[in-house]
Amino acid sequence: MGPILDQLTILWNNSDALLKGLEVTLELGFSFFALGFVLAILIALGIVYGPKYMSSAFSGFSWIFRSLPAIILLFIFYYGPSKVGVNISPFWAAMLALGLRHAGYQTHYFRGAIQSIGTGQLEAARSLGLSLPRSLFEVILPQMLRFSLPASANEYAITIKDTSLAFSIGVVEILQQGNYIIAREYNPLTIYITIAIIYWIITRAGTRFFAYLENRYMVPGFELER
Amino acid sequence: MRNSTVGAVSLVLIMSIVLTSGLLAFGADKPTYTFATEAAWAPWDYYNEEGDLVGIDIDIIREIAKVQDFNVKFTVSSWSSLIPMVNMGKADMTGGGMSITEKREEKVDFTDPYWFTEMAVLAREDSDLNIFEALTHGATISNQSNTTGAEWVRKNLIEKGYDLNQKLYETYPQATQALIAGKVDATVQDKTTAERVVKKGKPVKILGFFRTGEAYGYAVQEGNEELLQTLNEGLKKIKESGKFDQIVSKYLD
Repeated sequence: MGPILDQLTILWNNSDALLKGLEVTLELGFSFFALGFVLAILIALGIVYGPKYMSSAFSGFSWIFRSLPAIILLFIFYYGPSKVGVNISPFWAAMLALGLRHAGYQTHYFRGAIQSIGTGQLEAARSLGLSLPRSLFEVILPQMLRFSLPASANEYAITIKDTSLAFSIGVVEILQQGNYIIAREYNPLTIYITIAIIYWIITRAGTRFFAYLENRYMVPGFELER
Repeated sequence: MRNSTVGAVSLVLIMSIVLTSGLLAFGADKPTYTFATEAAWAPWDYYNEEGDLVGIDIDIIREIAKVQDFNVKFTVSSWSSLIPMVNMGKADMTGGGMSITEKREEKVDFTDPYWFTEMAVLAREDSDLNIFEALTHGATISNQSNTTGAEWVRKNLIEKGYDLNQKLYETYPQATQALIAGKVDATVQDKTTAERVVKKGKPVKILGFFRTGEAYGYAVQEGNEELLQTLNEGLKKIKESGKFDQIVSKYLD
Protein backbone atom coordinates (compact mmCIF):
# COMPACT_ATOMS: atom_id res chain seq x y z
CA MET A 1 0.00 0.00 0.00
CA GLY A 2 2.88 2.32 0.81
CA PRO A 3 4.27 2.66 -2.71
CA ILE A 4 0.79 3.12 -4.22
CA LEU A 5 0.01 5.82 -1.69
CA ASP A 6 3.35 7.49 -2.52
CA GLN A 7 2.50 7.48 -6.21
CA LEU A 8 -0.97 8.88 -5.56
CA THR A 9 0.59 11.64 -3.47
CA ILE A 10 2.96 12.48 -6.32
CA LEU A 11 0.00 12.54 -8.72
CA TRP A 12 -1.96 14.78 -6.39
CA ASN A 13 0.98 17.16 -5.94
CA ASN A 14 1.45 17.35 -9.70
CA SER A 15 -2.19 17.57 -10.72
CA ASP A 16 -1.82 21.26 -11.58
CA ALA A 17 0.85 20.52 -14.17
CA LEU A 18 -1.18 17.69 -15.67
CA LEU A 19 -4.29 19.87 -15.83
CA LYS A 20 -2.31 22.63 -17.51
CA GLY A 21 -1.11 20.08 -20.06
CA LEU A 22 -4.64 18.78 -20.53
CA GLU A 23 -5.82 22.31 -21.28
CA VAL A 24 -3.20 22.69 -24.03
CA THR A 25 -4.03 19.24 -25.41
CA LEU A 26 -7.73 20.09 -25.60
CA GLU A 27 -7.11 23.52 -27.10
CA LEU A 28 -4.83 22.11 -29.76
CA GLY A 29 -7.00 19.05 -30.38
CA PHE A 30 -10.26 20.94 -30.80
CA SER A 31 -8.82 23.79 -32.84
CA PHE A 32 -7.02 21.58 -35.34
CA PHE A 33 -10.02 19.26 -35.56
CA ALA A 34 -12.35 22.20 -36.25
CA LEU A 35 -9.94 23.67 -38.80
CA GLY A 36 -9.61 20.35 -40.62
CA PHE A 37 -13.36 19.71 -40.47
CA VAL A 38 -14.34 23.04 -42.04
CA LEU A 39 -11.57 22.87 -44.65
CA ALA A 40 -12.56 19.32 -45.55
CA ILE A 41 -16.15 20.37 -46.26
CA LEU A 42 -14.96 22.99 -48.75
CA ILE A 43 -12.39 20.67 -50.30
CA ALA A 44 -14.85 17.78 -50.67
CA LEU A 45 -17.46 20.02 -52.30
CA GLY A 46 -14.75 21.44 -54.56
CA ILE A 47 -13.59 17.98 -55.60
CA VAL A 48 -17.06 16.73 -56.45
CA TYR A 49 -18.74 19.84 -57.83
CA GLY A 50 -15.90 22.19 -58.71
CA PRO A 51 -14.49 22.74 -62.19
CA LYS A 52 -11.87 20.28 -63.39
CA TYR A 53 -8.80 22.30 -62.36
CA MET A 54 -10.18 22.90 -58.85
CA SER A 55 -11.11 19.27 -58.48
CA SER A 56 -7.63 18.05 -59.34
CA ALA A 57 -5.88 20.74 -57.26
CA PHE A 58 -7.97 19.83 -54.19
CA SER A 59 -7.41 16.11 -54.76
CA GLY A 60 -3.69 16.80 -54.97
CA PHE A 61 -3.78 18.74 -51.70
CA SER A 62 -5.52 15.94 -49.88
CA TRP A 63 -3.22 13.37 -51.48
CA ILE A 64 -0.09 15.19 -50.28
CA PHE A 65 -1.29 15.70 -46.73
CA ARG A 66 -2.38 12.09 -46.39
CA SER A 67 0.99 10.86 -47.61
CA LEU A 68 3.23 12.55 -45.04
CA PRO A 69 3.87 11.49 -41.45
CA ALA A 70 2.50 13.99 -38.95
CA ILE A 71 5.91 14.51 -37.37
CA ILE A 72 7.47 15.62 -40.67
CA LEU A 73 4.59 18.04 -41.28
CA LEU A 74 5.13 19.47 -37.78
CA PHE A 75 8.81 20.09 -38.49
CA ILE A 76 8.08 21.64 -41.90
CA PHE A 77 5.41 23.97 -40.51
CA TYR A 78 7.54 25.00 -37.54
CA TYR A 79 10.97 25.46 -39.10
CA GLY A 80 9.86 26.23 -42.67
CA PRO A 81 8.38 29.73 -42.10
CA SER A 82 11.58 30.80 -40.28
CA LYS A 83 13.47 30.34 -43.53
CA VAL A 84 11.40 33.14 -45.06
CA GLY A 85 11.44 35.28 -41.93
CA VAL A 86 8.02 34.42 -40.50
CA ASN A 87 8.20 33.48 -36.83
CA ILE A 88 5.37 31.03 -36.21
CA SER A 89 4.62 29.87 -32.67
CA PRO A 90 4.79 26.14 -31.90
CA PHE A 91 1.05 26.07 -31.17
CA TRP A 92 0.08 27.62 -34.50
CA ALA A 93 2.52 25.47 -36.44
CA ALA A 94 1.05 22.37 -34.79
CA MET A 95 -2.52 23.52 -35.38
CA LEU A 96 -1.90 24.13 -39.08
CA ALA A 97 0.16 20.99 -39.68
CA LEU A 98 -2.26 18.67 -37.87
CA GLY A 99 -5.33 20.57 -39.13
CA LEU A 100 -4.34 20.34 -42.79
CA ARG A 101 -3.42 16.68 -42.41
CA HIS A 102 -6.74 15.97 -40.73
CA ALA A 103 -8.48 17.84 -43.58
CA GLY A 104 -6.74 15.53 -46.05
CA TYR A 105 -8.33 12.46 -44.46
CA GLN A 106 -11.68 13.99 -43.56
CA THR A 107 -12.15 15.19 -47.14
CA HIS A 108 -12.59 11.62 -48.29
CA TYR A 109 -15.21 10.77 -45.69
CA PHE A 110 -17.19 13.74 -46.94
CA ARG A 111 -16.58 12.90 -50.60
CA GLY A 112 -17.84 9.37 -50.01
CA ALA A 113 -20.90 10.73 -48.21
CA ILE A 114 -21.65 13.15 -51.05
CA GLN A 115 -21.36 10.45 -53.65
CA SER A 116 -23.78 8.26 -51.75
CA ILE A 117 -26.45 10.96 -51.99
CA GLY A 118 -27.14 10.53 -55.69
CA THR A 119 -26.99 13.09 -58.48
CA GLY A 120 -30.78 13.17 -58.89
CA GLN A 121 -31.23 15.29 -55.77
CA LEU A 122 -28.92 18.05 -56.97
CA GLU A 123 -30.56 18.01 -60.41
CA ALA A 124 -33.99 18.24 -58.78
CA ALA A 125 -32.91 21.17 -56.60
CA ARG A 126 -31.40 22.96 -59.58
CA SER A 127 -34.52 22.38 -61.68
CA LEU A 128 -36.61 23.97 -58.92
CA GLY A 129 -34.59 27.12 -59.46
CA LEU A 130 -32.14 26.94 -56.55
CA SER A 131 -28.69 28.29 -57.31
CA LEU A 132 -25.75 25.86 -57.13
CA PRO A 133 -24.40 27.23 -53.78
CA ARG A 134 -27.88 27.15 -52.26
CA SER A 135 -28.64 23.64 -53.42
CA LEU A 136 -25.28 22.49 -52.08
CA PHE A 137 -25.85 24.23 -48.78
CA GLU A 138 -29.46 23.23 -48.24
CA VAL A 139 -29.75 19.87 -49.95
CA ILE A 140 -26.35 18.21 -50.13
CA LEU A 141 -24.54 19.51 -47.02
CA PRO A 142 -27.05 18.42 -44.34
CA GLN A 143 -27.15 14.89 -45.74
CA MET A 144 -23.40 14.76 -46.22
CA LEU A 145 -22.78 15.71 -42.59
CA ARG A 146 -25.25 13.08 -41.38
CA PHE A 147 -23.84 10.30 -43.54
CA SER A 148 -20.27 11.06 -42.55
CA LEU A 149 -20.85 11.14 -38.78
CA PRO A 150 -19.70 7.57 -38.03
CA ALA A 151 -16.54 8.09 -40.08
CA SER A 152 -15.93 11.49 -38.45
CA ALA A 153 -16.18 9.92 -35.02
CA ASN A 154 -13.54 7.42 -36.08
CA GLU A 155 -11.36 10.20 -37.46
CA TYR A 156 -11.69 12.08 -34.17
CA ALA A 157 -10.60 9.03 -32.20
CA ILE A 158 -7.55 8.64 -34.44
CA THR A 159 -6.40 12.24 -34.77
CA ILE A 160 -7.04 13.65 -31.29
CA LYS A 161 -4.07 11.66 -30.02
CA ASP A 162 -1.78 13.20 -32.66
CA THR A 163 -1.62 16.23 -30.35
CA SER A 164 0.97 14.28 -28.36
CA LEU A 165 3.38 14.64 -31.31
CA ALA A 166 3.30 18.42 -31.03
CA PHE A 167 5.87 18.42 -28.27
CA SER A 168 8.58 17.62 -30.79
CA ILE A 169 8.30 21.29 -31.80
CA GLY A 170 7.77 22.60 -28.27
CA VAL A 171 4.03 22.56 -27.54
CA VAL A 172 3.88 21.58 -23.88
CA GLU A 173 0.80 19.35 -23.89
CA ILE A 174 -0.19 16.74 -21.35
CA LEU A 175 2.32 14.06 -22.35
CA GLN A 176 5.15 16.53 -22.05
CA GLN A 177 3.95 17.79 -18.68
CA GLY A 178 4.06 14.12 -17.75
CA ASN A 179 7.64 13.85 -19.02
CA TYR A 180 8.61 16.80 -16.80
CA ILE A 181 7.20 15.02 -13.77
CA ILE A 182 9.00 11.82 -14.75
CA ALA A 183 12.27 13.73 -15.15
CA ARG A 184 11.92 14.83 -11.53
CA GLU A 185 10.29 11.82 -9.85
CA TYR A 186 11.45 8.92 -12.08
CA ASN A 187 8.05 7.23 -12.04
CA PRO A 188 7.21 6.65 -15.71
CA LEU A 189 4.59 3.94 -15.28
CA THR A 190 2.38 5.91 -12.88
CA ILE A 191 2.44 8.98 -15.08
CA TYR A 192 1.96 7.17 -18.39
CA ILE A 193 -0.97 5.13 -17.04
CA THR A 194 -2.59 8.28 -15.66
CA ILE A 195 -2.19 10.03 -18.99
CA ALA A 196 -3.49 6.97 -20.83
CA ILE A 197 -6.67 7.14 -18.72
CA ILE A 198 -7.04 10.85 -19.53
CA TYR A 199 -6.66 10.17 -23.27
CA TRP A 200 -9.22 7.40 -22.97
CA ILE A 201 -11.68 9.83 -21.38
CA ILE A 202 -11.08 12.48 -24.05
CA THR A 203 -11.52 9.96 -26.85
CA ARG A 204 -14.54 8.29 -25.29
CA ALA A 205 -16.26 11.62 -24.61
CA GLY A 206 -15.72 12.70 -28.21
CA THR A 207 -17.00 9.51 -29.79
CA ARG A 208 -20.02 9.57 -27.43
CA PHE A 209 -20.70 13.11 -28.59
CA PHE A 210 -20.64 11.99 -32.24
CA ALA A 211 -22.95 9.08 -31.37
CA TYR A 212 -25.34 11.58 -29.78
CA LEU A 213 -25.27 13.73 -32.94
CA GLU A 214 -25.93 10.64 -35.04
CA ASN A 215 -29.03 9.81 -33.02
CA ARG A 216 -30.21 13.39 -32.76
CA TYR A 217 -29.99 14.11 -36.49
CA MET A 218 -31.01 10.76 -37.87
CA VAL A 219 -33.40 11.19 -40.80
CA PRO A 220 -36.66 9.47 -39.73
CA GLY A 221 -37.36 6.46 -41.87
CA PHE A 222 -33.76 6.20 -43.04
CA GLU A 223 -32.27 4.64 -39.93
CA LEU A 224 -31.01 1.10 -40.10
CA GLU A 225 -33.10 -1.61 -38.50
CA ARG A 226 -31.67 -2.61 -35.18
CA MET B 1 -5.74 85.57 -19.23
CA ARG B 2 -6.80 82.96 -16.66
CA ASN B 3 -7.71 80.56 -19.39
CA SER B 4 -4.31 80.81 -20.95
CA THR B 5 -2.62 80.27 -17.54
CA VAL B 6 -4.66 77.12 -16.99
CA GLY B 7 -3.78 76.09 -20.50
CA ALA B 8 -0.05 76.70 -19.95
CA VAL B 9 -0.05 74.84 -16.62
CA SER B 10 -1.84 71.84 -18.04
CA LEU B 11 0.46 71.85 -21.05
CA VAL B 12 3.50 71.75 -18.75
CA LEU B 13 1.86 68.97 -16.70
CA ILE B 14 1.08 66.89 -19.76
CA MET B 15 4.56 67.40 -21.16
CA SER B 16 6.24 66.38 -17.92
CA ILE B 17 4.07 63.25 -17.71
CA VAL B 18 4.96 62.36 -21.28
CA LEU B 19 8.63 63.02 -20.63
CA THR B 20 8.85 61.02 -17.41
CA SER B 21 6.97 58.10 -18.87
CA GLY B 22 9.30 58.28 -21.85
CA LEU B 23 12.31 58.26 -19.54
CA LEU B 24 10.89 55.41 -17.48
CA ALA B 25 10.25 53.42 -20.62
CA PHE B 26 13.80 54.15 -21.72
CA GLY B 27 15.14 52.91 -18.40
CA ALA B 28 13.19 49.68 -18.72
CA ASP B 29 14.44 49.17 -22.24
CA LYS B 30 16.73 46.21 -21.58
CA PRO B 31 17.17 43.66 -24.31
CA THR B 32 15.18 40.46 -23.94
CA TYR B 33 16.78 37.17 -24.91
CA THR B 34 15.05 33.80 -25.12
CA PHE B 35 16.74 30.75 -23.65
CA ALA B 36 15.59 27.39 -25.04
CA THR B 37 15.86 24.39 -22.75
CA GLU B 38 14.63 20.84 -22.46
CA ALA B 39 13.42 21.20 -18.85
CA ALA B 40 13.82 17.47 -18.36
CA TRP B 41 17.42 17.17 -17.19
CA ALA B 42 17.46 17.41 -13.42
CA PRO B 43 19.32 18.93 -11.62
CA TRP B 44 20.36 21.26 -14.48
CA ASP B 45 16.98 22.20 -15.91
CA TYR B 46 13.61 20.81 -14.81
CA TYR B 47 10.19 21.76 -13.43
CA ASN B 48 9.74 21.58 -9.66
CA GLU B 49 6.52 20.51 -7.99
CA GLU B 50 5.17 24.04 -8.06
CA GLY B 51 5.54 24.02 -11.83
CA ASP B 52 8.43 26.51 -11.84
CA LEU B 53 11.36 26.07 -14.15
CA VAL B 54 14.40 25.53 -11.93
CA GLY B 55 17.85 23.96 -12.01
CA ILE B 56 21.51 24.91 -11.95
CA ASP B 57 21.52 26.22 -15.52
CA ILE B 58 18.25 28.09 -15.10
CA ASP B 59 19.54 29.85 -11.98
CA ILE B 60 22.88 30.62 -13.63
CA ILE B 61 21.20 32.20 -16.66
CA ARG B 62 18.86 34.21 -14.42
CA GLU B 63 21.87 35.39 -12.41
CA ILE B 64 23.82 36.34 -15.55
CA ALA B 65 20.78 38.25 -16.79
CA LYS B 66 20.78 40.16 -13.51
CA VAL B 67 24.46 41.15 -13.58
CA GLN B 68 24.54 41.80 -17.34
CA ASP B 69 21.23 43.70 -17.30
CA PHE B 70 19.04 41.87 -19.77
CA ASN B 71 15.66 40.16 -19.56
CA VAL B 72 15.52 36.46 -20.12
CA LYS B 73 12.54 34.49 -21.37
CA PHE B 74 12.64 30.71 -21.14
CA THR B 75 11.13 28.52 -23.80
CA VAL B 76 11.03 24.74 -23.58
CA SER B 77 11.32 22.23 -26.37
CA SER B 78 12.58 18.72 -27.00
CA TRP B 79 16.30 18.06 -26.55
CA SER B 80 16.94 17.32 -30.22
CA SER B 81 15.32 20.58 -31.30
CA LEU B 82 17.38 22.94 -29.10
CA ILE B 83 20.39 23.43 -31.41
CA PRO B 84 18.19 23.78 -34.54
CA MET B 85 16.11 26.41 -32.71
CA VAL B 86 19.15 28.58 -31.99
CA ASN B 87 20.62 27.86 -35.40
CA MET B 88 17.43 29.06 -37.10
CA GLY B 89 16.84 32.02 -34.82
CA LYS B 90 13.84 30.58 -32.95
CA ALA B 91 15.69 31.21 -29.69
CA ASP B 92 18.68 33.41 -28.84
CA MET B 93 20.52 30.88 -26.72
CA THR B 94 20.27 27.39 -25.38
CA GLY B 95 21.93 25.06 -22.91
CA GLY B 96 21.19 22.89 -19.93
CA GLY B 97 23.84 20.31 -19.28
CA MET B 98 24.91 20.80 -22.89
CA SER B 99 28.46 19.72 -23.66
CA ILE B 100 30.57 21.65 -26.12
CA THR B 101 31.32 19.42 -29.09
CA GLU B 102 32.90 19.96 -32.50
CA LYS B 103 29.75 18.82 -34.23
CA ARG B 104 27.60 21.32 -32.33
CA GLU B 105 30.20 24.04 -32.89
CA GLU B 106 29.49 23.73 -36.61
CA LYS B 107 25.91 24.92 -36.02
CA VAL B 108 26.20 27.34 -33.08
CA ASP B 109 28.80 29.25 -31.06
CA PHE B 110 29.56 28.23 -27.48
CA THR B 111 30.46 30.31 -24.43
CA ASP B 112 33.50 29.50 -22.34
CA PRO B 113 33.07 26.16 -20.56
CA TYR B 114 31.54 26.55 -17.12
CA TRP B 115 31.34 22.95 -15.92
CA PHE B 116 33.55 19.92 -16.48
CA THR B 117 31.66 16.68 -16.27
CA GLU B 118 32.36 13.00 -16.00
CA MET B 119 30.36 10.08 -17.28
CA ALA B 120 28.76 7.60 -14.90
CA VAL B 121 27.96 3.97 -15.64
CA LEU B 122 24.69 2.91 -14.01
CA ALA B 123 23.53 -0.67 -13.50
CA ARG B 124 20.63 -2.31 -11.68
CA GLU B 125 21.05 -2.61 -7.93
CA ASP B 126 21.26 -6.42 -8.06
CA SER B 127 23.61 -6.53 -11.03
CA ASP B 128 26.83 -8.55 -10.79
CA LEU B 129 28.51 -6.63 -13.59
CA ASN B 130 31.56 -4.48 -12.94
CA ILE B 131 32.24 -1.32 -14.93
CA PHE B 132 34.36 -3.17 -17.53
CA GLU B 133 31.88 -5.96 -18.12
CA ALA B 134 29.05 -3.43 -18.40
CA LEU B 135 30.77 -1.80 -21.36
CA THR B 136 31.99 -4.92 -23.18
CA HIS B 137 31.25 -8.67 -23.27
CA GLY B 138 28.15 -8.34 -25.41
CA ALA B 139 26.41 -6.10 -22.90
CA THR B 140 23.64 -3.72 -23.99
CA ILE B 141 23.66 -0.17 -22.71
CA SER B 142 21.15 2.67 -23.08
CA ASN B 143 21.85 6.34 -23.80
CA GLN B 144 19.83 9.46 -24.39
CA SER B 145 20.04 10.13 -28.13
CA ASN B 146 22.00 13.14 -29.39
CA THR B 147 24.07 13.32 -26.21
CA THR B 148 27.81 13.23 -25.74
CA GLY B 149 27.43 10.06 -23.66
CA ALA B 150 25.86 8.31 -26.64
CA GLU B 151 28.47 9.72 -28.98
CA TRP B 152 31.38 8.71 -26.72
CA VAL B 153 30.16 5.11 -26.43
CA ARG B 154 29.74 4.86 -30.18
CA LYS B 155 33.12 6.35 -31.04
CA ASN B 156 35.31 4.92 -28.32
CA LEU B 157 33.79 1.51 -27.76
CA ILE B 158 31.54 0.31 -30.59
CA GLU B 159 33.57 1.72 -33.48
CA LYS B 160 36.75 0.38 -31.92
CA GLY B 161 35.29 -3.10 -32.12
CA TYR B 162 34.27 -3.78 -28.51
CA ASP B 163 31.41 -6.22 -28.21
CA LEU B 164 28.71 -3.80 -27.05
CA ASN B 165 25.18 -2.92 -28.14
CA GLN B 166 23.67 0.53 -27.75
CA LYS B 167 20.01 1.49 -27.47
CA LEU B 168 19.04 5.15 -27.79
CA TYR B 169 16.13 6.88 -26.06
CA GLU B 170 14.73 10.38 -26.51
CA THR B 171 15.00 11.38 -22.82
CA TYR B 172 17.33 10.23 -20.07
CA PRO B 173 14.50 9.06 -17.76
CA GLN B 174 13.52 6.73 -20.60
CA ALA B 175 17.10 5.51 -20.89
CA THR B 176 17.17 4.93 -17.13
CA GLN B 177 13.76 3.25 -17.12
CA ALA B 178 14.99 0.85 -19.82
CA LEU B 179 17.72 -0.16 -17.37
CA ILE B 180 15.34 -0.60 -14.43
CA ALA B 181 12.94 -2.61 -16.60
CA GLY B 182 15.75 -4.96 -17.61
CA LYS B 183 15.84 -3.96 -21.30
CA VAL B 184 19.53 -3.09 -21.07
CA ASP B 185 22.43 -3.99 -18.79
CA ALA B 186 23.79 -0.52 -18.09
CA THR B 187 23.23 3.19 -18.78
CA VAL B 188 25.89 5.79 -19.49
CA GLN B 189 25.03 9.37 -18.59
CA ASP B 190 26.44 12.47 -16.97
CA LYS B 191 27.61 12.11 -13.38
CA THR B 192 25.37 14.70 -11.72
CA THR B 193 22.25 13.32 -13.36
CA ALA B 194 23.14 9.71 -12.54
CA GLU B 195 23.78 10.62 -8.92
CA ARG B 196 20.37 12.23 -8.68
CA VAL B 197 18.68 9.07 -9.94
CA VAL B 198 20.43 7.09 -7.19
CA LYS B 199 19.57 9.68 -4.58
CA LYS B 200 15.89 9.43 -5.58
CA GLY B 201 15.99 5.80 -4.40
CA LYS B 202 15.63 4.10 -7.76
CA PRO B 203 16.90 0.47 -7.80
CA VAL B 204 20.15 1.35 -9.55
CA LYS B 205 23.76 1.80 -8.52
CA ILE B 206 26.74 3.58 -10.00
CA LEU B 207 29.45 1.17 -11.17
CA GLY B 208 31.99 3.91 -11.71
CA PHE B 209 32.91 7.12 -13.46
CA PHE B 210 35.19 7.92 -16.35
CA ARG B 211 36.58 11.15 -17.80
CA THR B 212 35.78 12.18 -21.33
CA GLY B 213 37.20 15.68 -21.01
CA GLU B 214 33.96 17.34 -21.96
CA ALA B 215 32.57 20.56 -20.62
CA TYR B 216 29.20 22.30 -20.57
CA GLY B 217 28.67 25.61 -22.35
CA TYR B 218 25.79 27.81 -23.50
CA ALA B 219 25.13 28.11 -27.22
CA VAL B 220 24.17 31.19 -29.23
CA GLN B 221 23.50 31.67 -32.93
CA GLU B 222 26.66 31.56 -35.02
CA GLY B 223 28.21 35.04 -35.23
CA ASN B 224 26.19 36.56 -32.37
CA GLU B 225 29.33 38.04 -30.77
CA GLU B 226 27.39 40.53 -28.66
CA LEU B 227 25.36 37.94 -26.77
CA LEU B 228 28.34 35.59 -26.55
CA GLN B 229 30.39 38.30 -24.89
CA THR B 230 27.52 39.24 -22.58
CA LEU B 231 27.26 35.63 -21.40
CA ASN B 232 31.00 35.14 -21.02
CA GLU B 233 31.34 38.34 -18.99
CA GLY B 234 28.35 37.34 -16.88
CA LEU B 235 29.78 33.88 -16.23
CA LYS B 236 33.07 35.42 -15.15
CA LYS B 237 31.35 37.88 -12.83
CA ILE B 238 29.20 35.31 -11.04
CA LYS B 239 32.17 32.93 -10.69
CA GLU B 240 34.21 35.70 -9.09
CA SER B 241 31.40 36.78 -6.78
CA GLY B 242 30.91 33.22 -5.55
CA LYS B 243 27.30 33.19 -6.73
CA PHE B 244 28.08 30.41 -9.21
CA ASP B 245 29.33 28.00 -6.52
CA GLN B 246 26.38 28.94 -4.36
CA ILE B 247 23.92 27.90 -7.10
CA VAL B 248 25.77 24.66 -7.83
CA SER B 249 25.92 23.59 -4.19
CA LYS B 250 22.25 24.47 -3.72
CA TYR B 251 21.36 21.71 -6.19
CA LEU B 252 24.17 19.19 -5.82
CA ASP B 253 24.70 18.92 -2.07
